[in-house]
Amino acid sequence: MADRKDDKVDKSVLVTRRSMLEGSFPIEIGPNTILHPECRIHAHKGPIKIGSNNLFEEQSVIVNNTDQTMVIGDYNLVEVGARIKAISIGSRNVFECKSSVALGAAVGNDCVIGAAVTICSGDKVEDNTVVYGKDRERRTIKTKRNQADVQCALNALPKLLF
Amino acid sequence: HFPISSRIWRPASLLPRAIMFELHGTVEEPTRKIYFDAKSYIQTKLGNKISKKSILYGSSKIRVLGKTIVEPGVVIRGDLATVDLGKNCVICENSVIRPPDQRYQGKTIFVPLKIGDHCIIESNSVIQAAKIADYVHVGKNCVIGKRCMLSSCVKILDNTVLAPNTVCPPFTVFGGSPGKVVARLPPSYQFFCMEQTMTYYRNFVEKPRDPGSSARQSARQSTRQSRAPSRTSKVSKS
Repeated sequence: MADRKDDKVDKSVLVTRRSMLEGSFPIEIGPNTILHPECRIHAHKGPIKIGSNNLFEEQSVIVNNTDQTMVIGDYNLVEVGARIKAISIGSRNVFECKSSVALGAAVGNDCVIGAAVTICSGDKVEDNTVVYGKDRERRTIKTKRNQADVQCALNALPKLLF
Repeated sequence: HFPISSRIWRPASLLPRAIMFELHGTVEEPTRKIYFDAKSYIQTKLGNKISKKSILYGSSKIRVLGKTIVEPGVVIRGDLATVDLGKNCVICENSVIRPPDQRYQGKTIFVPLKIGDHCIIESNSVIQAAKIADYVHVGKNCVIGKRCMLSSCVKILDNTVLAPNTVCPPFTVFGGSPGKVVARLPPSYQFFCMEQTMTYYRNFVEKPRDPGSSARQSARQSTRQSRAPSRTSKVSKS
């Protein structure tokens, strides 16, 4: 596909065998990011810019369905089955298993989106919040551990994956 | 006379009925067979039926004890740590079985994952437990958090989210998000689970070749040969 030549994927990014970068727009991925198998980054209608030191686990889906550039910051952890469609995602966030951030939402920095939580359109998750539970309750906590967690995983994974 | 369909069909007896679980007196033997396409499954010597469309990483570290069914779309990450699957397990479509990681002295290590015998893991679940004992039934769309320990005879309802490090005592039913004890199970749940998995395995049967369609296949082949004699004839997909 012609678009894959426009991708600016850094050399230190670990793109594993079945992870897929799809779509007709360029995808830019910063250094030291790891894409697990089965992860899908789909620049459907607009380009995607992903920062450094991110971790995208299996079955995670990052789709850009808008014309604008989707920006994802650094040190994010996108766990199994998480789906991100929002345009602006900050840094040091954790998107737990099967969580979903809809188009039109925005996520700040240092957030934790809990497992199976859906952030609806128009919702902005402020910095340092944890969203959890069926009713999407929120609590502001000082989550300074996110970066260290991701960094540890990033150190351990390149020896295991290929 | 059963319709032969190309999709996997699951008998209704495998689905949970109510939240307050009550054991029926007898288990109905499902009368319909679950057909699978023989070409899309690998059948091992121990009787495992593993779909070719399932995604197994680090297969040298994945141990499957026998008579287990792994359906298409399942992702098993053996490359992170060893994964042990028991016998007579059923792992339904698109589930992810992934060993959990643990922070230990500033490093991340991946903890081996053990799943016991006679377990049913339904579709689209994410299993990141440290240990799942025997006779466990995990529902659809579940998220089993990291380093969870599920004891024997546990039932996890559909759409539950188990927090990390949850310990599920035996003979309980977990539900909700975060997962909590919702009901209790009778001691005979062990045999119920065993019967379910064993009948599922017995009825998980290769699709028999329809004698009508093979006649159609041979007719198609002969027309192809008459049109393009240089091409080698190939049996069309049943």
